[in-house]
Amino acid sequence: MRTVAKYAFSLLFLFLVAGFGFAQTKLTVACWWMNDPVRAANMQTAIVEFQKLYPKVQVEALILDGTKYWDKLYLDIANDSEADIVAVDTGAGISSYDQTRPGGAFLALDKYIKGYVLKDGTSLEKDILFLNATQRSGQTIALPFINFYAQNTVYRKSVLKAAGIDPKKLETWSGQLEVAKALTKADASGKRTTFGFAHPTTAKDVLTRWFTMPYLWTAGGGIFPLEKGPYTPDRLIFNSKENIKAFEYLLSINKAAGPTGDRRYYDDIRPLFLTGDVAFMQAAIWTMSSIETDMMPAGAFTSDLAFAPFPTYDLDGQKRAPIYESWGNPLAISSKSKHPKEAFDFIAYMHSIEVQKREGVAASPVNKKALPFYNSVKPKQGEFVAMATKYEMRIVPDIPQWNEFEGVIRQTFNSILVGAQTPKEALDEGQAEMVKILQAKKK
Amino acid sequence: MKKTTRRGIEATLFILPLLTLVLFVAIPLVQAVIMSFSDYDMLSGSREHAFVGLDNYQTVWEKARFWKMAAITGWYTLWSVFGKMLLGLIVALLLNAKFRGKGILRSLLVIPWAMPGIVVAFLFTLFLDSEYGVMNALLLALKLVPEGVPFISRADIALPVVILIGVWKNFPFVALMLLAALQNIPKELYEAADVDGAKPLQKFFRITWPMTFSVWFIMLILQLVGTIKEFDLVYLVTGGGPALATNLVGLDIYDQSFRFFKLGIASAEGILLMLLSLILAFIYYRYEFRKR
Repeated sequence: MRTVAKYAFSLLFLFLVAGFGFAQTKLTVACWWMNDPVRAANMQTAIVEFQKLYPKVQVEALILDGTKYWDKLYLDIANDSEADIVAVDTGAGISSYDQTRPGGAFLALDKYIKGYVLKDGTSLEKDILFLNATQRSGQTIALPFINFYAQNTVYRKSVLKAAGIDPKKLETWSGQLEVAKALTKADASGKRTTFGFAHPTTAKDVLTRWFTMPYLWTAGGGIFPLEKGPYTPDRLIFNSKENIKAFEYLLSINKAAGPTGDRRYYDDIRPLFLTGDVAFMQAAIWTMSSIETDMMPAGAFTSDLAFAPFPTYDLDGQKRAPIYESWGNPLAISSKSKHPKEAFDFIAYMHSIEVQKREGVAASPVNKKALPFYNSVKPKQGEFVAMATKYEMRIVPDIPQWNEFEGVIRQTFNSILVGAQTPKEALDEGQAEMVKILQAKKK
Repeated sequence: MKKTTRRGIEATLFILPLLTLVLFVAIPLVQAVIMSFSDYDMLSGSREHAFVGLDNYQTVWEKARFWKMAAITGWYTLWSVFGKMLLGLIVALLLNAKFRGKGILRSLLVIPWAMPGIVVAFLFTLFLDSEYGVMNALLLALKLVPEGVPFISRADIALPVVILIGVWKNFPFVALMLLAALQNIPKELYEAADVDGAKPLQKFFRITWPMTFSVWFIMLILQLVGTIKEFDLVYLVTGGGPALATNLVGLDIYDQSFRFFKLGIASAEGILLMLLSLILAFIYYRYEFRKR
């Protein structure tokens, strides 16, 4: 009898374990920001909330090294081993990741998005911003999750007031040059103690590219006309006279008011602004969190920080409205996922008003319904976004060869900004490399 | 234990080194050679890696940047090895002399060599910063320069700067090896030379140099082979810039492999670099063979 009972219990146990295993749908999520404790906690909260709504779905967030995330994503896709849900970046070539797998690495989401309404009333079709930023060949391959805007000029009201400078001057290229010169101070030996303006220069940091592109676009240049396809070698405008002009301007303002020609990371410049050693600089929405916590003296963020739009090009008697850079981190579903429906339910939940409100710590929500809350709890950030969204937004060309292009762009920008090459030399060389990259792909 | 079983175990143990060699050297090497003849582009969207003959080598050959990189690598290797060998020899000779505190100095000598590359890179990046670096503060205080020199960002001086950093980090190893060789020279030889009235330079060229030359030569070859594939220090200090002025072939292999995932091109570059190293290794073995 005891033996029978023992076997019966064992079988029951096995049945329960197996049953539990079968009943659970397991999903994995990979995002580059999971080593940020606040954002990781947000993700865990979202997972717990989601699992209450969908008890049969088990979601695991993978903790990955943020700096290695993008390369690992490439390799994982190439090995068919990526997570069910992955974060991508509209400003760093979604297509190059998507096309790493024959037939596409990411699932087309249009049929899932159509008519999908969350319990809080959020309609994915109507309430999510930037849906067109994630469409490739007419299909939506990712759902925008959070969005970044760059770049407004940030300055201290008190500094401009003390110098008797009208902040309106910051709204043009020539005005910024004039203000930067006026606010630059030096000691008796001529060594600069306060820099009127500073711009990143290093090739190692992608932020140099991010903060430089709006200058090229506003001057009328870029990589391709309007960064739109077809992306053929004959359409490259990387060595255009507009780009040369933009760099000549950046060099002149750096020379007149910036730190010396050494390489500078954006993260070298930001602390200088926070302490008041840099009078004004360009900033993106995500910069706001560090400005909010670290700007000196305490309280300066709310009382003294002010924004001016990215300057209008006004050189050579021409006028060109500012062009901003916009990018975001949409969520995509792997085409290899065994549970696409459940994966979509999860990314849809990540767009609920509550989740989007919490994500405001990092960037701007994409759910329109979460924006009023974001603007009320983060009024400065709201002001920043409101200013940025008045202007044209552009993103870099989404080409499969983006990684190689990025390498060329960074080296070119660095060479020019540290004065190793003239803008013409470096841009000509860069364009020649880009032609080779595009032609190599054709072969 | 039966004699046959014991012999079997012995035979297996003797085969283990060969197996290790096959697993960790031969197979990866053969794989790299195969990849260098294949269309191995992980981002191409294709899972097929077709045989493309010498296409990858041709691509490398035709890349204007490759020849620029090869020239930079040549200069970097030449001057870096020259610096390490010369400084290593001088320091070894100094530390072989009799003076107080020699032991402490010998211990201190190991520090740069023992430091991880990342620490050295970070130290020098701070030390040479044009705005806040100690080096520029000194130069400005002595009024030797009118303004801070961007040592790492000037295309004309970035290469000599990374060469000097590399020499600083690696010369202690050469010095220690040569010091060991110097200490093996019988004292009687110097005593006999003293009796014959030999001058210091004569003693160096007639006794010290011939007695340490074989170690010096081995170090030279090892340093050449090691420096030609240098990566970490240069990558960390300059990242290959500015204007590709410090872009060694090793850095491009890294970019091709881990940034652009063009493993075919990267393998072709790697094989070319390996062939160059093999030539140096061949010179070394020829020397050893002749000596015997």
